[in-house]
Amino acid sequence: MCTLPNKTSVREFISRRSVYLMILPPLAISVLFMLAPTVSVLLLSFNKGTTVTFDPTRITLENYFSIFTRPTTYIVLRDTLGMSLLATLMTFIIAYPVAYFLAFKVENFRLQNVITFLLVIPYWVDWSIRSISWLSILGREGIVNYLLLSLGLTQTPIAELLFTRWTLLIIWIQTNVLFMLFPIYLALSRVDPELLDVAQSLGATPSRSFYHVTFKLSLPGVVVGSMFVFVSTIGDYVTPALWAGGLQMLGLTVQNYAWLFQWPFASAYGVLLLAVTMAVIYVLLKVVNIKQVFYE
Amino acid sequence: MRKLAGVLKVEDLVKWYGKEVLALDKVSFEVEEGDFVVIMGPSGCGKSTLLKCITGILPWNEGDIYIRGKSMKNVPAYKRDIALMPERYALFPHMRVYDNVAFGLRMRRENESEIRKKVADALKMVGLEGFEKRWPGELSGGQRQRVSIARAIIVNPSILLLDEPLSHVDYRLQRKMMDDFRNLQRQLGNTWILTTHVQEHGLSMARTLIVMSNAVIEQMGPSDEIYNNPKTVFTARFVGEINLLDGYVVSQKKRECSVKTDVGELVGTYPGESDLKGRRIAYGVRPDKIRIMKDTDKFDNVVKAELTSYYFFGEVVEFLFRTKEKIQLKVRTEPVACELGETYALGWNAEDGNILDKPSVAKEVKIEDIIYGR
Repeated sequence: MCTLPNKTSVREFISRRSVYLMILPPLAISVLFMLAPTVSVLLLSFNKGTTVTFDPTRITLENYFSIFTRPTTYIVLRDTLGMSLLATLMTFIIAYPVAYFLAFKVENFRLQNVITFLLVIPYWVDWSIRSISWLSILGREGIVNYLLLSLGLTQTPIAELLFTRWTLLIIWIQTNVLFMLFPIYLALSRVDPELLDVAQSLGATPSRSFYHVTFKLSLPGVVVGSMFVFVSTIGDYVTPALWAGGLQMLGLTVQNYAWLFQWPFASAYGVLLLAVTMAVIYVLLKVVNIKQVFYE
Repeated sequence: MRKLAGVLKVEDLVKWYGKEVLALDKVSFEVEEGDFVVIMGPSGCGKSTLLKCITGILPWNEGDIYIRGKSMKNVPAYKRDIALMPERYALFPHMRVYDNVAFGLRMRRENESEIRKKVADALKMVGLEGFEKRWPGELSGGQRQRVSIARAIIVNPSILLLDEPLSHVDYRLQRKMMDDFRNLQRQLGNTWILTTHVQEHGLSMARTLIVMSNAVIEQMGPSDEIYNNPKTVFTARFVGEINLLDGYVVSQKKRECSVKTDVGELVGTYPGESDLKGRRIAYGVRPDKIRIMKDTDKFDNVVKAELTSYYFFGEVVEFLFRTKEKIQLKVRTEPVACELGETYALGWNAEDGNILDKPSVAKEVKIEDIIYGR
């Protein structure tokens, strides 16, 4: 049996596709402000010189040849990846015990909220101010030097506290630790304590039941947190420019060439940065089935 | 044959939650090897707490627990020979059925080929062959429970503790589960301890029944003994149904007492030792012990009452009678022809009348308060 088209069929057509209509605005924004620039960067990296618009008639791989034949590229790559992964690892080491404490040891739900609130307070301050405040902590006349001097551990203030790669690391840890902490806390607070009781009644020592049950169940949180920290540090070029004492990073390299109006060359570095980021995220997602966050 | 060795001994166990809540008040009992024990009591009576203490996941305040004669005071849960099946099964959500069941063996560092064999056996025992690759989230409630049981029995524990194993299973499955539990226990030959708050489960499943209320054990023994000779009003009312009458003991001859009640003088049996003469007690008689008398019948106790209502269940009928003193009596018998509004003679024997001198082991409650449910 067939039905003749009539007025309601149009309405039906719309209602059946209303799901697609609903995602249209965010889709448009994503295409316009994310996909399009990314594609244009990708295309531009195959051009040369100082052009700002992609010229399909002059496609060349020269930028990439030049990038991969330069020894400095590998040093920059090593430093960028190394610092970013180190920051990720350090935030994990700092955040995990705190998240664990919050989820399991603070039984009072109100107290959990208060602690969470206190943790968020520093983030009310703008990034630039939070960043500059490190001057008063690590600077020549900062608190750390003051303490070292008054304890007699050093005779002259240590200037090396600022503008080294370790300064960068500390600042990255401070600015990112909550992005690691909260996903882990959320994953941990979903772990049913009864599972640990069962694990122990089945012969698991406390440390083994922690590893096989608690930690394994918190892995999705760890992966999500790691992605947050890794992504926000690997592309960061302002913090390294300000605090790292001349340490070259991929993001900084992109910026340097962009300032010289060498858009295609900067684009090629940008593509490299994107590729590295995606590779690391791919590996992270291989570690754990992200769907596991929504078990049951 | 039952071996007569005590596998578990609980001695004067006291557990406080904070300073306010007394969850276990000097609880003592002993369980024999290979027994099938059901701990029964209303919710909040302390039975789950007791299981947690035995498992070792909850410390207690006073007393001790012995497993095969060894004090468990400083033995952590993972070194006790006990497996627990919690009320909500607590399957590891990040492991497939296979890994869930294999967990205990992996913790004991057995080799993987041995584990594979044992997991297959355990899953076969609970009827879940071929479910190895499933995730817990893909199973029904009943299947989850069976995985949980397989996970517990695979480590071959001396004692298996099951907390409310039937409370999340639908009604029709409960009877099958009870059968399965008993068969599995007989097959394995280890000791099982279950808790339940549903009296039919305890009564029908247990070889040994423990009745708990308000942090104490009311009575322990074979279920028929508890049904026929309850020691307290609490037990009498919690295990099965009972007609309760308020009364005074007028004379006592060994265990047989004459009691003055609202419906006249009745004789009953007292399971205890005390001298009850002149004391106020509760006189109980189970509905299934009362008979609607024919002319030829002879009973120790006879009461005349009017039939006010009845419920027909097929093989049994429940009759509600009212005496001229306005006392209601429930009678459960095979179907007999009766007329509503007619007066009948009801009879029962002295051994079926229960003299209950204590409302409960738990607290000093006035006996009449419990009878009238105040």
